[in-house]
Amino acid sequence: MKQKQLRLKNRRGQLQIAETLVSVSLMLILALLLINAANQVNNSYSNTMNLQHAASDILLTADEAGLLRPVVFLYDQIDYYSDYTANLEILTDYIDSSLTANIGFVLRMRTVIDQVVTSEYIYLIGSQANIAVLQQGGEGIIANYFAGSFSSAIYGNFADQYLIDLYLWEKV
Amino acid sequence: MLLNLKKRRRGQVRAIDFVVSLLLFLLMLTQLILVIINVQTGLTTQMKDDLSFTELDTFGRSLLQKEGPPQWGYKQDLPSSFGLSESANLPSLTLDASKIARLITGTTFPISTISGFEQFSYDSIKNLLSLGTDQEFQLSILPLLEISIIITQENDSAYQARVDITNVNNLPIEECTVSFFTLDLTTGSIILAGVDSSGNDGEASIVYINPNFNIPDGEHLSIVIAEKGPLWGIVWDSPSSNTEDILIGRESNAAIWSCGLNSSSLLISDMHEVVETPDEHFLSYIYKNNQGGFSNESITPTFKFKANETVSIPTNGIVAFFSIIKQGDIYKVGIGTFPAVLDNNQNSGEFYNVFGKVEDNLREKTRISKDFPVYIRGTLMKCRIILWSV
Repeated sequence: MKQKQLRLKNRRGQLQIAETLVSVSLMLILALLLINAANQVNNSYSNTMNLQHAASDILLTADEAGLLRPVVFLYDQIDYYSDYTANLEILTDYIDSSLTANIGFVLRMRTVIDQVVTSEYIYLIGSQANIAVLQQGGEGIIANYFAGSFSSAIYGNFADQYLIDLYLWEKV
Repeated sequence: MLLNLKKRRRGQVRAIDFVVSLLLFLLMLTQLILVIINVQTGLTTQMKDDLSFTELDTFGRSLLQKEGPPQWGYKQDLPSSFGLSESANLPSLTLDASKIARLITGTTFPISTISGFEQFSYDSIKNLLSLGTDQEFQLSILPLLEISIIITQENDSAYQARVDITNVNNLPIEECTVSFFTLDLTTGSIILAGVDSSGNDGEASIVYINPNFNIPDGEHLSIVIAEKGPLWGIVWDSPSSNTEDILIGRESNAAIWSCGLNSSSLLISDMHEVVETPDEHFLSYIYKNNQGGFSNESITPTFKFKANETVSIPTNGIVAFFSIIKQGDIYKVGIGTFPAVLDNNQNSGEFYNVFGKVEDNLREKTRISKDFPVYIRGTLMKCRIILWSV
């Protein structure tokens, strides 16, 4: 009788150990998931920083080279449609040439009225695939730049302001 | 009896339960150890990359956004601080072509010997920018348009020059304005042979007449400059019937260099490696004029193997210059551009070397590179900086 009780006790002890092992295993699964998530966040941070610097440099240098403002100024002027498309193409070629082949981009702008940025976007350039990514909520890496106060011997003066957004994606 | 046995066994564990839970635990523990090792390795690499990227970005900006003493590029001596920017107040990467000219290395003769302008050595730049002894870098400056050229002979006096224009990602660039020049090596004179626009496939071509009417198959170069707004590219070649007689670029062993003396004057210097005095010596150049077209000039220097000529040029736009000597039947043509193209392609033999370490170091631990879009003399180029530790 005593032996039976001892055996029963041992079995209960084993059951407790088994339960503990299963609980610990579940906790390990949870830890694995958390570590993987943290690792992915860390990886994407480095890429984000790299692309954000690249996007800012592209916009700053484009404006210095006089590529942004003519496009912004001419985008809705029917009289200068061919000038607009020509300038737009130069800007596209410049951005394409400044990025590696695995990076996609969309440049779009918003009007600024009374120092308030309107919510409506006016698409400027980018391949249809890139624009589709943006429309589906893929924000990519963004750099912002204000353009305005443009004066040209050919096109005259322009004091409106626009907010230019350059989105970059690493193509899959 | 059986019921009693079942009742007694309720709440107990069988050996199989214990074994299964132990196996599950061991499996998860192994997985966790593997993931930790994996993540740890990844994090170490990541930290190394992050460090390199941060360092590269900071280092690149200290090269490209600092100015050094105002307009140091125009002075013969070297400054005690360094920066290639035209002005440190500009937020964009706008570089000074005269400062870039002071980074040209690897010419047949030292630049200071022929021009009096001191050049920066790689080690002196490393010291000025406080780069560690265990770190190396390389800087190249390239046009954004890449051009390849094929010249075919149509008949005794006519040739066809055909070019393909692409961007750095090898995509064709259409609607470029493509100017075709011919450089007559027997007289040093340059002629604008024609202008074409690149099509959807990035192709442009013209048929031109041999510029040297006196000599059938006369020695000449075809020079092509493609432009699209501030984007540009340049290429040159000689017809295959000429190639045996013409040594171009680095093959010529000529040292040719140019630097701004102020915003509107350019010093062009050259020197050839010669045993006997050459028969002829010409210094020819093409530059973008204020009307948006190209002008060209040809000078016959006093000395037959070297020259230091000051020429007037507009503030903006590219200048391409050609130093030609004739020795017997051989023509040697040194070629340079302003802004200087510092090219990584050692086989092209056409542009200046990159600045910095060129040989691959097998002991290197990490190598990271970044392309910066730069604005120089009203034109857009690409500056690639590679940083690595040894």
